[in-house]
Amino acid sequence: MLDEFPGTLISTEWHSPGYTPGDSDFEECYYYDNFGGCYGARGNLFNVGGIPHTEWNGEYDLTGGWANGNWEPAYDYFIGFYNQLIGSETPYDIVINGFKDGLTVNYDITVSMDDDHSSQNQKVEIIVVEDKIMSYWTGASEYHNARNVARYWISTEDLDINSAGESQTFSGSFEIDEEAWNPDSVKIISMVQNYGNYHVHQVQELNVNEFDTDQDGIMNNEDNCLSEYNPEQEDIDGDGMGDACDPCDNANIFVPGNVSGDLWYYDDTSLEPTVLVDVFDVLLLAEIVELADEESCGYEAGDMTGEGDVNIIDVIALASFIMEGAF
Amino acid sequence: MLIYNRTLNIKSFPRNCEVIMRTNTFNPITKAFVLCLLTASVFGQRIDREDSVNNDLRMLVENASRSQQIVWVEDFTGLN
Repeated sequence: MLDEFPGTLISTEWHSPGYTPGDSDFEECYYYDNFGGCYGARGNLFNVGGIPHTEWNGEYDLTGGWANGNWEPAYDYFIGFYNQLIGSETPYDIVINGFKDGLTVNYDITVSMDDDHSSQNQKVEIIVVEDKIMSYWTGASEYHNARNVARYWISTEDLDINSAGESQTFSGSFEIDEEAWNPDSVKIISMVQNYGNYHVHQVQELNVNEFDTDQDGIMNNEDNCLSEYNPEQEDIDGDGMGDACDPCDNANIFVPGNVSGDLWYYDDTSLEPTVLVDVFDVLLLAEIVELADEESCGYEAGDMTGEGDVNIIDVIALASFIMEGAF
Repeated sequence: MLIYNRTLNIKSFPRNCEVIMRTNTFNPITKAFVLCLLTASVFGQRIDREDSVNNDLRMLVENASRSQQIVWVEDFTGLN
């Protein structure tokens, strides 16, 4: 069914430690900051007894299965639950974003509302899962592809917003356990759930390798402009900051000495401008040094000694170069 | 002589007639005020209508973009 309804059906597997061999790849997940306890904590919400037990948005459930892994007869029940729930309006929308740096994942989960709804008992769950773990199921005598196995139940947060147009962002970070998890298959799943009746109001998932804030097809950890749509990744000065978000063209304008970024034409026939370096650049560089303004375009252009730092020596050097007619 | 007589007649009009004549010749400030009133009344109606259309459009867009429920199935299971 997950393949049948991509994007509108999201799953999570909670593995019972009592029915899962300790040497399998389904060891208990981290519950908040402790190892183990996820299954019990989550199962208690729904009074889960026998397994397998499926819970559909906390509203419909089915306990028990069919022998030898023959799940086909359950499909009719599942599709009924799905059709009851899908397409219902909800006031919540969830957007998962973040940045992956090596094995460290920093996430931002934003819940927004397009209609009013009480925030009483409303919680936001943040769960890390590992998708597609191929494993041998002794009871069914076959390999199966376990989907979205819970690895780390990060937190349960209070949702404070209650009116259309409001939004709330939950930020945090976690480390991917490279020894136990496949880093390529790690997802964040987040949902809005009411802790009065445990109904799930909205859910969303995203693979941590697919963070793409500006939706330009370049993942955040490779994008030279995180918030600007620039699929071509143009970077005229090669400084690692894309032209779409780089105010300083250090290749053609803010070249060494041209602290102010001034350009001029020799005469009316000149097609290309040339940089203008004069006493005003010296004065501006002195001000940059005094203010330690490292964010200005002139900072890098004022590093006359090339030592990576801008100080009074660079001011003197620039003045000397101008007096010597070096420009 | 005739003109002179008419002039005399005008001057001899009662006081209230002079007031009426003055109010018929609006000074610039009064003209501006009246113009503002007319503009406000004419365009005020138009803005109200546009607001109404905008509200309808907003409701249409809000309803059209209202979030749809995604289904989350939790599978409590084991591996034996």
